[in-house]
Amino acid sequence: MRAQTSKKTRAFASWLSSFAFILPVVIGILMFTLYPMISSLVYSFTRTYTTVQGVGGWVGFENYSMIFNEFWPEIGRSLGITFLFTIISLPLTLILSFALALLLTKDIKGIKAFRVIYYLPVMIPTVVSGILWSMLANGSDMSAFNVILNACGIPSFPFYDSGDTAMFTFIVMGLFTIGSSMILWIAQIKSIPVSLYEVADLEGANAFVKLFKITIPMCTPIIFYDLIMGIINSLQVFSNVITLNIEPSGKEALDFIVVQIYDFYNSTDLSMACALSWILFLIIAILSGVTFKFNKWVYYGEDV
Amino acid sequence: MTKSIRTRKIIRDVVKYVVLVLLAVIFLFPVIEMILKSFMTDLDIRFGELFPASFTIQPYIDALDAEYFWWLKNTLIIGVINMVGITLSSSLCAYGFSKLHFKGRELCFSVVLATLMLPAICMQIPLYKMYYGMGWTNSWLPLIVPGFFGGGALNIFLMRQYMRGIPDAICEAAKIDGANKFVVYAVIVMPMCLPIVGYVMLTAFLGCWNDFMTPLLYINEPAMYNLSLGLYYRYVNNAGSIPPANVQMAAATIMLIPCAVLFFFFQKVLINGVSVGAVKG
Repeated sequence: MRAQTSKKTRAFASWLSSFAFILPVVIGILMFTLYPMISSLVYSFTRTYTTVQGVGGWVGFENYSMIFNEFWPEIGRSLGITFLFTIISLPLTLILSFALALLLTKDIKGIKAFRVIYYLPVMIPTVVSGILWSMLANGSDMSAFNVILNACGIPSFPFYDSGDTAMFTFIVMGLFTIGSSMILWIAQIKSIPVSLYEVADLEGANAFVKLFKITIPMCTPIIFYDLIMGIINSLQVFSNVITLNIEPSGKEALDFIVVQIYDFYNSTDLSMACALSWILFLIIAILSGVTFKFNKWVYYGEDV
Repeated sequence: MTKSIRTRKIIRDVVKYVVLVLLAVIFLFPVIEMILKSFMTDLDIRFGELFPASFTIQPYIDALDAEYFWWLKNTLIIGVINMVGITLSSSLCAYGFSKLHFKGRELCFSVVLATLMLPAICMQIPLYKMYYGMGWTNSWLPLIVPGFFGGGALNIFLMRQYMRGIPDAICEAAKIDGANKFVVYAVIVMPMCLPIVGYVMLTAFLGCWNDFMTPLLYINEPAMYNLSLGLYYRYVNNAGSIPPANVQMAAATIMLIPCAVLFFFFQKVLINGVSVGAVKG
């Protein structure tokens, strides 16, 4: 009996000494992920303010009903803006970064230097990029882009300073960071066995067939990864917008959903901010869940 | 016949280079224009010159005031502490997830990975209340403490991926020689993981350097700002008058320099690290 318990204790001690290594992340998830997720759900059913100590009174679904009634004109518009951006920028980023990667996997001298140059804009801090692009792409005749356009005989373009062109400008700005996606494509393209292409050559396949029958199917894991991450990230666009110093009409056209959440938070209305962020969470969960559900087209190698 | 093939190849190469160079110009244009504008006089700015008519370092003198250096110092302190915390914490956890076998390991790991999918904003907003209750707002604790608890799911994942490549036999041999789990981690595993440790340290520092949203949410005191937040309140969200573009560009250029330098020295580490994470994931 005694021997048995000591054996059990020893097994537990061994388990504990292993578990201790992952204890930081376990505590971290409980404290900085699980607790805030649950508390934000609770706050969203109460009237809680950031500046008042403690949790406010229970109000049921009032916050949610306010989102879908009183605030819907603004919030619905924000959702529309966020979806529009996602729908345009996600495929555009995928296709352009793929094209760039194809260009950079060719064996040409100096190709590595180009890779570094194309990746460089990814390294620019958000605030720097905001300040920089407000200067490059404002609507005045003196902005760098308009000076170039005017020099080519094209009249000035409003860019960030008009509600009609701000979204276009924002998408173009985002395209400057396709380098991060490009790097993933390059790594994946390089991991495709050369033998596949050799066989295709023997069969007399042209470049077009090789691209669509070998390269793209073998790259589906990257497409899948980019899709999931793209959905999560582009629905959460915030810092890139708020760091722009542009005309109110341009800002209005870039009123993304997280900017709305931040506005609620800024006006000390924690419960509304939490309710809206839970709606955003559900949207992201549904969209990425659907993407996961339909992942039959992703090639995971022979062994899976 | 062969000659025409060769000519065609040369033409193709020339076209490729032209395209590559053109793209490089486009990608570099914003940064180059930023640097050029930072050396312009106010007059050149007003006339919208692309190239400075006369070089001046006055914008740098205007931009780099005492407050700027103060924010710079704040950013460096936060960055270095996080670099240590994130690397230490994520490597410990990755070691647990890759080299130790215990009940519940796989479950815990899938939970860690699942947190990657959660939108950050859903946690950052309610965390304010927790930090406020603990008296952490307006201090650096919200920017520092979370790093010591796991150091981010992605870092754990990358480290674990790397550690799995170390043969178990080496760890077993050390264990037979009497080394305990921690000694194996510190003396055997960590020295073999230097490339990925370097990658995590680098991205941890750069992440802190660039971090804008966390300080925006939790810090109100100008003396506590990091550089991102300082520049934001000075050049973007400033109720008073915003300094001219050349000063803005000078401040931004200085902030970009560490990123650019680290990037050029460690681009191989950075680029490889990024691709390993996704391709294997």
